[in-house]
Amino acid sequence: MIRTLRYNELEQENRQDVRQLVSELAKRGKLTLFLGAAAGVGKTYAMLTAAEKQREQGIDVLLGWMEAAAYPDTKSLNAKLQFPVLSKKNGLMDTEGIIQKRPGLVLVDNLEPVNGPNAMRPKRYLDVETILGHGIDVYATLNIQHVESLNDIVSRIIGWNVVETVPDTFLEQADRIQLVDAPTDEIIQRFNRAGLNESEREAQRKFYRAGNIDALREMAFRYAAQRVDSQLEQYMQAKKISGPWPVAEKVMVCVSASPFSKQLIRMGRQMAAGLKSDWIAVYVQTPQGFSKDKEKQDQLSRNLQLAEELGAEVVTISGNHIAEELLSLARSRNVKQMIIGKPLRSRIGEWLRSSVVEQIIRNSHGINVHVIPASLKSDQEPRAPLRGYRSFSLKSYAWITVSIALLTVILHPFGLTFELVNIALLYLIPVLLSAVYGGIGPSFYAAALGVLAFDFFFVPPFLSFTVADLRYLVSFVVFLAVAALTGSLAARLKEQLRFSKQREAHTASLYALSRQMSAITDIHSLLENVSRQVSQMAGTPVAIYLPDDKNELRLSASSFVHSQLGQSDSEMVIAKWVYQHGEIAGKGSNTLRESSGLYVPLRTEDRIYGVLSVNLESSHAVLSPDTVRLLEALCGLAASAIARVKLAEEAKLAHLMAESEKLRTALLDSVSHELRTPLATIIGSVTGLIEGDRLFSPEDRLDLLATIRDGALRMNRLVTNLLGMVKLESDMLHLRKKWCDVEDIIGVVLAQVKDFQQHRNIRVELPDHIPMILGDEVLLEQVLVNVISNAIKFSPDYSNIDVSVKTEESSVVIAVADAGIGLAAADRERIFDKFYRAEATRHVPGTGLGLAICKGIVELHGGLITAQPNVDRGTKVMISLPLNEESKPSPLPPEGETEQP
Amino acid sequence: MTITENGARILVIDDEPQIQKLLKVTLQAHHFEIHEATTGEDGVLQASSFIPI
Repeated sequence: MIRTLRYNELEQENRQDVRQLVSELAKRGKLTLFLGAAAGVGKTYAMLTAAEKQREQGIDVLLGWMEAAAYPDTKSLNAKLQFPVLSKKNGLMDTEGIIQKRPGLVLVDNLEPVNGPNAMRPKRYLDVETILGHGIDVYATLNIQHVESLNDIVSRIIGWNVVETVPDTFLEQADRIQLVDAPTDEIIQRFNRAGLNESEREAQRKFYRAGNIDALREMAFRYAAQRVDSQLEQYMQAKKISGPWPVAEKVMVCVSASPFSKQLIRMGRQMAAGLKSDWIAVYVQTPQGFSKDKEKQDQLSRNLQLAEELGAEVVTISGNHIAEELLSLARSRNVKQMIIGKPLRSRIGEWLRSSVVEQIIRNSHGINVHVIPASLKSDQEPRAPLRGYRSFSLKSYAWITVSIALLTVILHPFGLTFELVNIALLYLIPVLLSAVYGGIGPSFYAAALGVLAFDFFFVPPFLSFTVADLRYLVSFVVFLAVAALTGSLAARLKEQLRFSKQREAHTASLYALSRQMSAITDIHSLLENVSRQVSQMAGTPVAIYLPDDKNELRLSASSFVHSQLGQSDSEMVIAKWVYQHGEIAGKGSNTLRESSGLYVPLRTEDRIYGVLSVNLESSHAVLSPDTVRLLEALCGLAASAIARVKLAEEAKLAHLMAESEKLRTALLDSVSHELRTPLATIIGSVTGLIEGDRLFSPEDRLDLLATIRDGALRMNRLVTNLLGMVKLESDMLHLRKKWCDVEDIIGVVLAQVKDFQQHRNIRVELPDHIPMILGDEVLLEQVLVNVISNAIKFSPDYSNIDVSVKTEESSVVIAVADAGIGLAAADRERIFDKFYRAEATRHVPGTGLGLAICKGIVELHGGLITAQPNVDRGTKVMISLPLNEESKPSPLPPEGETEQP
Repeated sequence: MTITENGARILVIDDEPQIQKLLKVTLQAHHFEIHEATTGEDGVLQASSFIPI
């Protein structure tokens, strides 16, 4: 074991942003850990006493979980204090119930148990984590033997494996650690006094030996001391006290698919904690090491998961040369300590690996390499079987046998005319072919078979395996060597190809998705795309859940249209959980391992947009960490794409809102002016009439009354227009079609405008015969009033306004021409827009509604309204209304009112 | 509204004919001398020539 430790004392300030630290602390509940060496030191007693103190200060205490107390003093204390207790749910702690009750403090006795396979969270510490996440404080007890990173040492001391462990990363989050200790003999005495039955007592007697307890106590002390140390460091950081910070050097653990790697990982964790540094767990995937061996893959993913749980950054790199890849990563990440395992037994299959260790040591300049020999203990664990390159394929062996037999049959008649060397070379052909297509096994088989056939049929004495000339033996060896070499080369090439193909497929699917997503702006096709891509990648059905308007999660897309995937309640519940917590859950994750799918949140930095579920019911396999990571990457991509689409939608909405806001302001401005002017004249005139009645002559009085009427009429027109507009906008304007006479309509309109035409001269020009048109009389009158009053408004006094009617082939055209200010060419279309007013008419009061309503009404009639310049000056507005076929003979007007939307 | 007989002159500038009419009738009934202008330009011009008090 090469072991050199070196501590660089470089100063590094503000390793963490203090503010971030404080804000994170503010959100979470506080965890106080009562740590002891073994059961019986009085942890639970200490916890209950501390909780009682909290209760005296008015804090709401809830007993989340209490083991059946075996110790009389604890039992009596618990009975005396009577904390409120929540009933168990399915024999487990009712985490959801606790969160719902929102107490100030929850007591959890024993942090380490593994919940049942069907539990929401597989381990109790995850329950506690959830409770803390809701801002509730927790008091919890724990025995030192359950600390994950101490697992190896503990099992060595006490002689059996501790299965229930709590990862160090969780324990490091504890805000306070209270060490509860008692002298060794007292612990043993307490054990003897405890109310256990005989079998339990017998089972545990082995554990309660003085040596064991002493060792465990020491470990507890050390662990607590380490924690105090790191708390001091945090304090110094928080208070910005500069001190000799440890350097930012990192520890790197090289992980392989062997169970022994677990030991290395725990060791790395301890070393990193001792150096107060970050650590990395690395796995180098080589084409040779790439295997389909299920068990090995599982072991590897278990190893990597353990590393992740212990707080390592897990890195998987792919390359041909393990040593080179490891060293280059170590250099780029400032790794100063490297931990690598050395297999205890050197096997032929592993001589390559042991040379990796040597290569690393040779090139490690400046990196301390710790080589850990595999312990006997881990060797006792079931070893993963030697990797097989590919499954044994009978078919390829049959092919080889057949082809060599065929070759022999063909060659045999010529055997004596051919040179023996040529025959030997011809026998190489099946070897090469099988190497290329079959791999190393078939190629060896082909070589052996070829040698045997060659020997039996062609080497004298014929038809026997004996060899007369011993020089042929050399040929046989050369033949076999060539076969071995080409076979292994071809096989390796094939593996490499397969491996790079898989990598390429991963990259390609990411690339394809990202490219497609940047092009899609519609959320539904986006979701379809994502689900299709992901299901292609994972090879299983995929469903996507998105929240609806009420923030309720709904199934929004699924890769198979007709499947029932994602519909069941349980799936929905998990999806909701994932959506709320933003954490991955389901098969192969920390939460809800036993469910049939994997649920990945679609999240960006600040928001969760939905949940993607991968159905793994059909395959019993857990997805490999690689695939999960790819899945997460895809989900990240999908989330950002959804975010983009949503933002675009929001932007569009905001734009629309701004538009309607503008419209509303315009409406308010113009309408308020248009309403208030006539109102002011009416109020003024009426006030004058009331107050100064005696003053006015009869003519004056008549004048004022006329003003009042004009004002009222003007308001009436405005209100009619406004209502018409509202009706048009909301599609509520229905035509009451009747047969109407254009001449009549013009007559009514002229009477209406007479009151405000001042000195304009309105001239009407009608042809002899005007066909009746089918339309809404009142609305058509409104159109004409609007158009003529516009003509009056925008033309000077004493000018002419010409109203003319022309009958065309299929329509009647009413033209209103004035000699007013005219229209700019650009305005001719736009004056029919709502609230639009030509630049030249800004000084004239108006709402910009009149012509818009005219357009709406005329179009409802199936007609057309246009504006064009008049011959000399001014504007000519043409209203063209369609003539119905039956209108020509002008039959009896149908009395029934037909409605037409 | 004080009634003065001494013929104070008032210049009414407003582009709304109805308001003008109202003011004209009412003020004349109160024996003011009224002048009218419908645009600002016209109003300034009239104010200089006719000097309202």
